[in-house]
Amino acid sequence: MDAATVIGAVLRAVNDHTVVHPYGDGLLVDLPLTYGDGDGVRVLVEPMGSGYRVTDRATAATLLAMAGVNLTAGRAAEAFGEILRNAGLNGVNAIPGEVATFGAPDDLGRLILDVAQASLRADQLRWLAPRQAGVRFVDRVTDRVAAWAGRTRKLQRDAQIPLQSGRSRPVTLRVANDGTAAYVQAVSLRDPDQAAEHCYHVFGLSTIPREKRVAALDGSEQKWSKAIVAELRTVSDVEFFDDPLSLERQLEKMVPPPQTALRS
Amino acid sequence: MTAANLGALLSPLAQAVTLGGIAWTTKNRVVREGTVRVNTVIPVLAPCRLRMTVNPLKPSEPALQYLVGDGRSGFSARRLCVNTPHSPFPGTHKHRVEPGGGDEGAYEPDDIPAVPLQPRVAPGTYRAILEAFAAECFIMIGDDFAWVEP
Repeated sequence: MDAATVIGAVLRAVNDHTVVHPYGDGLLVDLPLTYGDGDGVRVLVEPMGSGYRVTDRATAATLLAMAGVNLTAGRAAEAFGEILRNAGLNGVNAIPGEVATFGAPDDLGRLILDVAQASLRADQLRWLAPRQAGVRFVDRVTDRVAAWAGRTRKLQRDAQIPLQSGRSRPVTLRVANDGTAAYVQAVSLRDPDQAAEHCYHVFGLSTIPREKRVAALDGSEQKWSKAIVAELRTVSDVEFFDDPLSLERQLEKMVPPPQTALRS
Repeated sequence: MTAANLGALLSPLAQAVTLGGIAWTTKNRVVREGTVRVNTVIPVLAPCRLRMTVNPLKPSEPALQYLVGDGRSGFSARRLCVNTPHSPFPGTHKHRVEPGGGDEGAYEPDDIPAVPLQPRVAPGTYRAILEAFAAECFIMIGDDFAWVEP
């Protein structure tokens, strides 16, 4: 065995397992490398001016999103930025999450390997995925209301609701539009008695009219004591999260769409 | 999680049916993630949901997952990667989780609509993929299902 044999073997393996597909104005290059889940590493090469732009098309960011890693803030975001900086990529025209660089035609092979390597390194941030005890109910309520609200209503998380005493206390969400606002309190099944008592206390003491308050209860009606539900209904509307549309319907009544949206 | 539970989930016994429509959010500033809740008669595996991931930089390579459970006990029972290589498969493949092990085996499905590998997709493509994936997982599309493009 000599150096030429080993180099030849490496080049042959790369040659035999690299596949190229036409894609728009460029080419997709499937490399003999794999991400942590076994999917192949693929980069896009596009002609740009006098050279080529190479990108992973935010594949690592997509895999990380699927693994539950948040790249918008925190340690993973810092590490992602550090990986890009250390890789020496110039990031021409890159959007957030995209691993990309630009260079001369003579450097194309190096550019492809650099982007692939940085994308693979970024994918390893999947080990930073939080092993938490599930998505909190308040976050599930927020996600669902945000999906319903779109751009037609304004949402405020941990909104302050005014109390008759003059002080204010936070509730899960404030949903507002055209001067009309409703307040939503998520009531989790994790500690149902305490969650319900908190909701009853805050809503019961608030100056906001009852018809503008919603208690969003985790699960279905069968999972809750009838007495607790009856108590909560004295201070607010009650909707159950397992009902696929009731929360949205109630908010639609409480906070109608803006007049501009109705006219368009 | 047992083989029996997973086997039941991926069969008509689960009586799986979607609840409500698909809701989209943006993850990591670029990825569109759509989720549809799924109800089954196997409470120990709840909550279940379908998750579709669409990266606008690679629109003809979406991914779909049948997610089961939540938090530490949650896992992806099936995952479909459209037009994505996974040796020895050159394109569309599925990942399958096996009870008792973290490894996901891959196989090539034959019931997913073919999608040309290109920088755009035809209208209706994502919905067709979701419905085909749901059918293979024995998930019925509920009467209240509402589709929204990503």
